[in-house]
Amino acid sequence: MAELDRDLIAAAKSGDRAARERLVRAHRREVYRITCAILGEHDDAQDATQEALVRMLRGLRGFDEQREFRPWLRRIAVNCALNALRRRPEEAELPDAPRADGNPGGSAQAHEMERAVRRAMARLPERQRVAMSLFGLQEMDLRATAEAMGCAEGTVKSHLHRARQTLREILSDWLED
Amino acid sequence: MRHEDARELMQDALDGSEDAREALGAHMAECPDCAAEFAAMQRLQAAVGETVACEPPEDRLERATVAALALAEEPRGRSWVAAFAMAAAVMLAFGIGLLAGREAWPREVVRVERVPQMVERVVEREVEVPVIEERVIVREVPVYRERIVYRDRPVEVAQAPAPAPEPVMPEIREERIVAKPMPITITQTEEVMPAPIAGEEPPESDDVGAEPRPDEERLALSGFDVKAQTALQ
Repeated sequence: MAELDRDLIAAAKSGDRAARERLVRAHRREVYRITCAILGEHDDAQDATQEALVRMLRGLRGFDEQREFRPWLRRIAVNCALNALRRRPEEAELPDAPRADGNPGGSAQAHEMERAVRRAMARLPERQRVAMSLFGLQEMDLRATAEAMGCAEGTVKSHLHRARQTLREILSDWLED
Repeated sequence: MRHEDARELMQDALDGSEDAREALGAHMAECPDCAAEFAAMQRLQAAVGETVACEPPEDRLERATVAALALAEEPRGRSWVAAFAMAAAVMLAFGIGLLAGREAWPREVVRVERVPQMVERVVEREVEVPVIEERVIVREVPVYRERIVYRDRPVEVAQAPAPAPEPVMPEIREERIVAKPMPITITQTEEVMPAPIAGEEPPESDDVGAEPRPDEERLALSGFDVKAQTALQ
């Protein structure tokens, strides 16, 4: 754990409001990326981010400073995103690409490809979809994904392999040269 | 290396294994099919990465941050008490509304004609009741069921405390037909027949079935002297 986080966490646990706010601002972006990757939509991602940050602040008092902070916070973010995902009605329409909210750039073909990938991922089982979404984030490797999902790396690999095979079949037309 | 083994190595290489990537590189130099397949899998992984990647909007981040800091400051116990109190108040208001607000509750007005206060005894008598009859009409398949409801005039409910009225028997009038004798006038006519003369048959009447003649005429015809007879008397 970085020295900055260690000090911030210690100060935040003691009730320092400024330290709590600094801790939130230091990690809110990653929390948002995780929730947005799983939910695929900004409104739900914002709500899930807010809920994850609240849980983080309230859980600081019982947090063991010897543990890693970021995996703990990622786990909270994944759980909040999954809760929001399960609250969605089953017949809900597939949300548009998250980047349409802020930066609508990109070619039409790239946009169509993203929609095709999103539709294909929506057909995956929940654990496979979450594993692919988290592992697809730039900062997440196999270990980080396993910690965030609360399972072993071998389990994550199994989810990833099955998900890739399924997506490969669904998106065969898009992936050919 | 078999294609199946190469596929496994592709997965491991995409997971981030450098050893798998090196072993796969040697095979793909000789196997264009596996090379093409690995390229497709890399495109898939990149497409997934581009799809899930998201740059958080600053305004959304700020709103989530402010709200989270404010919500985290609220003691959770108070919110539970407030929620419980609110739920209890709602339940209480609902109960009071059920008990005291009956008059205000929308109702359906039903007209009651007569309600017997008490049933002391059962009076059996013949009354006319509505008859409900089900009649099955079998035609072909399917079977149609027709319900016929005969509705008669409403049956009046007898007032229980009142004694049952005696059945009014129809008054039977005995009528005797007496045959009244008609007055009959009997006219007796004495018919004096002359003494038969010996050896002389009475003359046969020629006109059988003719109207009888008057007595005097008949006597004159027979030769009887009416005057002489009267003088003798």
